[in-house]
Amino acid sequence: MKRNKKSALVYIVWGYIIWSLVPVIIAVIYSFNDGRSRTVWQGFSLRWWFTDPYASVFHNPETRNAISNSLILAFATLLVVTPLGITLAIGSQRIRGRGSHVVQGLTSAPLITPEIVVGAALLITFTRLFTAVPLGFAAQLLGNVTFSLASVVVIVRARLVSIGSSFEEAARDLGATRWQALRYVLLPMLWPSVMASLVVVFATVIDDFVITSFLSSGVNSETVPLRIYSSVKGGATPALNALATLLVLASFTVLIIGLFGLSTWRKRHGERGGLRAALADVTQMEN
Amino acid sequence: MRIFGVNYNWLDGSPITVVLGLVYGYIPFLILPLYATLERLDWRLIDAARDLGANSRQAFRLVTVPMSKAGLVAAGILIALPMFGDYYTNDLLSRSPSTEMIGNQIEFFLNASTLPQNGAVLVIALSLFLLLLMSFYLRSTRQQTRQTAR
Repeated sequence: MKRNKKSALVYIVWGYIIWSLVPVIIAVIYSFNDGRSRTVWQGFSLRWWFTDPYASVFHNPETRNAISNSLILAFATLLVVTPLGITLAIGSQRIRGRGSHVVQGLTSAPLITPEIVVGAALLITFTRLFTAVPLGFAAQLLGNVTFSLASVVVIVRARLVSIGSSFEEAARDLGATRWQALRYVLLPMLWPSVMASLVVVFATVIDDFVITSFLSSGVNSETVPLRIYSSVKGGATPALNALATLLVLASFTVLIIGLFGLSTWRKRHGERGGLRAALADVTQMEN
Repeated sequence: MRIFGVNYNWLDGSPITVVLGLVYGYIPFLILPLYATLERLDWRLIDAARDLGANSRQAFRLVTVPMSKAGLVAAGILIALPMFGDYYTNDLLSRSPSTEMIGNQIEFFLNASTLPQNGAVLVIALSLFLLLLMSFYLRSTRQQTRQTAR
């Protein structure tokens, strides 16, 4: 009786995993299709990846434009949001008393606000109020920074809580100035949370659709998700599947690099190491 | 990538397709917090229930479910919030007016019509509704952390 029940649950889990992976795998496989179809298999070829001089992913000017726009947007967002998020996390952590709940609630609110609300609000803001910010890259950057800032703050703040204040106090007792304690004691200890938030922010921005779409100004600020969205309805070729594959690969690569970086950092600093702890850093799960 | 999986002839505006697409897209966001809740459970209580004669189904119904209720509600709200703003799943899988959700109307009014005010009003209405859910979520997570801190 007990055995049967257990195995039924195991089947459900495996069924779910297969169900969630199959569409992605099919999409990847059809990027190697020899024909123009994305549903009928016509033999293997690399024409949609490299060989076709116009329509392949790495030659078509529009997909190349989308790829570079996506990468620029992701790295620019990382550059802005990481220092800003760390500062905000440290600052909001130090607020004591009544205000602290309000500040913590406000800084993590965007995390659970639907993207369409943020996107629509920012669109109206940039087209009516702050018209100095043109739609396109600048607005997309500000939008993504606004939206992903909360995740950096939450991740870094969780780390701050687990570090506690004793290390900094010890540094101050031993004669360090406030700034020195921050620079030489606290910041180095924050490193795993910084790495985790880099991974999370990159993965969010690189396949963000709603905000980036609301704030785009047309073809010259088209990112990969926008490109996929706009061409999936028309006469799309397997090059679109190849583009989608690249998107999956990008997030996946960054995740793997981040996890390995985290687990080696943890090992070297004598903290609980291993991929599991690193994964918990990224997903903010306690284990 | 849910775009490609359902590439069959049921892409003609069937509500089942949209629901399946939404389930596909949002279920990971339900599993993750729920898993975290289950992992934090005090498994000794379940062992105790088994020791005291409950079979595994009873232990699940009488101990596991009540103990993870807060996490279940929080996870539900966590996926409901972004889902209310979703318009692209619908757009890609159906495009039929009969399956439109509020997100589609917001997107239409703001991007494709001369009446962005209507879109703004819809956004405010949606936010007010979601604010209720959000405060509920924040309260339940705060209770949860207080419980585990104890």
